[in-house]
Amino acid sequence: MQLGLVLLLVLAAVSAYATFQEMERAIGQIYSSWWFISILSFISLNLLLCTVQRFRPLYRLALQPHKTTTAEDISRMQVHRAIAVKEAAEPLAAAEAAFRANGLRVSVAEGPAGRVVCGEKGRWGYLGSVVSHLSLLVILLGALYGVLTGYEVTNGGWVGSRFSVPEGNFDVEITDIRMEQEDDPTIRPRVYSDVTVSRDGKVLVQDTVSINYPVRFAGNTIYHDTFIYFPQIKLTDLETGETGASRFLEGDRVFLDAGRTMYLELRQFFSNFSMRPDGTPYNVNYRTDRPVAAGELVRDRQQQGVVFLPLHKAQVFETPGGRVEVVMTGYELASVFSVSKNLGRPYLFAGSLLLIIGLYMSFFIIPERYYAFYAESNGTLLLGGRGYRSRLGIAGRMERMEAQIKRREESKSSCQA
Amino acid sequence: MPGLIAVSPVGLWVENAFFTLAVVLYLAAAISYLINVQGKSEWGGFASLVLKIAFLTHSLFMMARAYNVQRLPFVGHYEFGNLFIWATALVYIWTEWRLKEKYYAVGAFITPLLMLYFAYLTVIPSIIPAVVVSRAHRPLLPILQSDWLSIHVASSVFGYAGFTLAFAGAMIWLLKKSISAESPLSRVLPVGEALDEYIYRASGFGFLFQTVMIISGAIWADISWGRYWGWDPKEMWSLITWFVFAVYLHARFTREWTGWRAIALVALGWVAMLFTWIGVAWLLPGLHAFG
Repeated sequence: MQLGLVLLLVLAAVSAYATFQEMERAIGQIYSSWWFISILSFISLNLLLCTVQRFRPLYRLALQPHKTTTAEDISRMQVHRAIAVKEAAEPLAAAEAAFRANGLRVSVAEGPAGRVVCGEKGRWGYLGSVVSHLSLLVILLGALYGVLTGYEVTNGGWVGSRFSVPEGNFDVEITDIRMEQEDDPTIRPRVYSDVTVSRDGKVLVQDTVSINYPVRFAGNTIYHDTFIYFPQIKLTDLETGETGASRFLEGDRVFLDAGRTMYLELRQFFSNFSMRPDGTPYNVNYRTDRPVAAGELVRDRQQQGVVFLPLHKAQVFETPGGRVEVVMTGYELASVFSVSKNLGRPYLFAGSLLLIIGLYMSFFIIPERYYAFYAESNGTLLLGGRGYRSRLGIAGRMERMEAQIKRREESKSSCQA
Repeated sequence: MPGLIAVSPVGLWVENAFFTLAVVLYLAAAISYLINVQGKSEWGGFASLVLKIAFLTHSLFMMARAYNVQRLPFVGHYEFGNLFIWATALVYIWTEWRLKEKYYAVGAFITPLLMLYFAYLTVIPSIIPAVVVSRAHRPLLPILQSDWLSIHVASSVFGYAGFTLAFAGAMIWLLKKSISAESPLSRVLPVGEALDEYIYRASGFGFLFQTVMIISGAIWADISWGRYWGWDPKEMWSLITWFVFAVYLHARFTREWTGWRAIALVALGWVAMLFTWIGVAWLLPGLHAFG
């Protein structure tokens, strides 16, 4: 287990270092590295071996305890007392009564040295560490199973569009997208996407995807990831009168001439455009009051400068093929989804629940076991107690039980007098 | 201002009045507990009473805040910090009630820690301009509008409360080590073995709730973002805190680590917890930037 503690500290130190790195770099170069995974694997192996090693002794301790004991054993227990008494039968009855009065489960057994009263509580607490360790293994194996058998893809589209998920063998059609602005326009609005999922033409599910409300079916899940705008740009060749229009995504190139030597590379769509005094464009908020598509004009691979295309405001460019008019005629809201399948999820949840139960057993169910034995040779009632994790609790209860037994002895003496 | 919840002047006054009164009462409790450990044992009961009144006043503040923001006040540094202090006071009052007056001495270490946390919410932002603790009444962001928020935050504050109690115990242990065993101060502090168990039980309490916090956060992230772990700095520091306390709890139990090594681990765990709460927010940007 000492190795496990060292490995946990190493893992904590490495993780702390990684958080000070840029997140993508930390994920790529640290959390996914062979040595980080090796540390995790060693910890898992250590956990497994410790659990196997400790299971049997703890199981015996919890469910198959020794019900008998001897005077020597009692004297070696964590907490022990010797009370001088007069008779053999009564002191054990007094101990039994004191055990019961303290909420202990009592059993009486005949041992080689004589009758022994045993009282116990919280025996399931012995197994807390085993349950916690097992649950961690279930979580780790669940995560591994999910990674090995599942998939995760990102896809999306606008109203009426459809995309395929070959990994899950189904298609997703987006039937509607609604945006709900918050009172505070600087807060990201909520987007609701109605989707129809089908396989081989048969509808599997029809539902709405939104933040915090994914759509689940047959082990697959469609989550709302984000939303984007697709500007619709219309080109008109002023020489020939030819027109063409299409939707474009950030990063797309809008070619202005047939030879493709001149194009507009779309950089960003601003739904509510403004410009800082230093000339940097920015979105005032999430409203769509002033939509502008911004891009870089490139000619013969040379950047010519930034072009802003406000809605319905045409701009004319001189191209090798003549003059071309470019205008943003509209923009379309599109939803981006994260689609995944994680078969390890049930095991992760089961493991998590088991972990909470195990930790509750470990820290809130404190096992205590007490023994009472009458040593005839010197007329002494021997009381012994041993526990797990709480020596003070044992000592406190022993003190109370000793006082109860002594009071009973005293009242018996006064009655006899 | 757009996006802010309209709060009536009376509502705002009540909220601020309860907050100020709670801070003053917590401070009075801290002073009383400190006088108690100076050998004036008659101050112990008074300090405990003042702390309970401070806690009730703080509860009234939380209720006023909840009324004003029209939701549970669980979000942002100001609300989370107050909830954390409130939970720590509650857990301490509960332990004091269970363990009786012999543990009044722990109050002399817990209440100054509460004042330290209050300082982060009130004084520190005015000293360090980069630290902004907004008291604005804002509605919940769409991403936070989930039932998991309550479970995640509630378990978080109780986890932190347990770790704070453990750290207070660790400070007492260090103080006892640095003064003569015969000194009056040493005599009013809990005995070594009791203190050791106090730290262990408080850490165990915090550890259970920290676990619930991590798990509930993972489930919520799975629902919201489609993945239960994102390697976000806040997630990682919660896990680091969990690792450190896991090492302490194992070492204390299986290898019977007590003394310096155990105290060092508890102190390290508390620092990690504090960094998770405060340090990550200002030094390491990530997905948890809701404050």
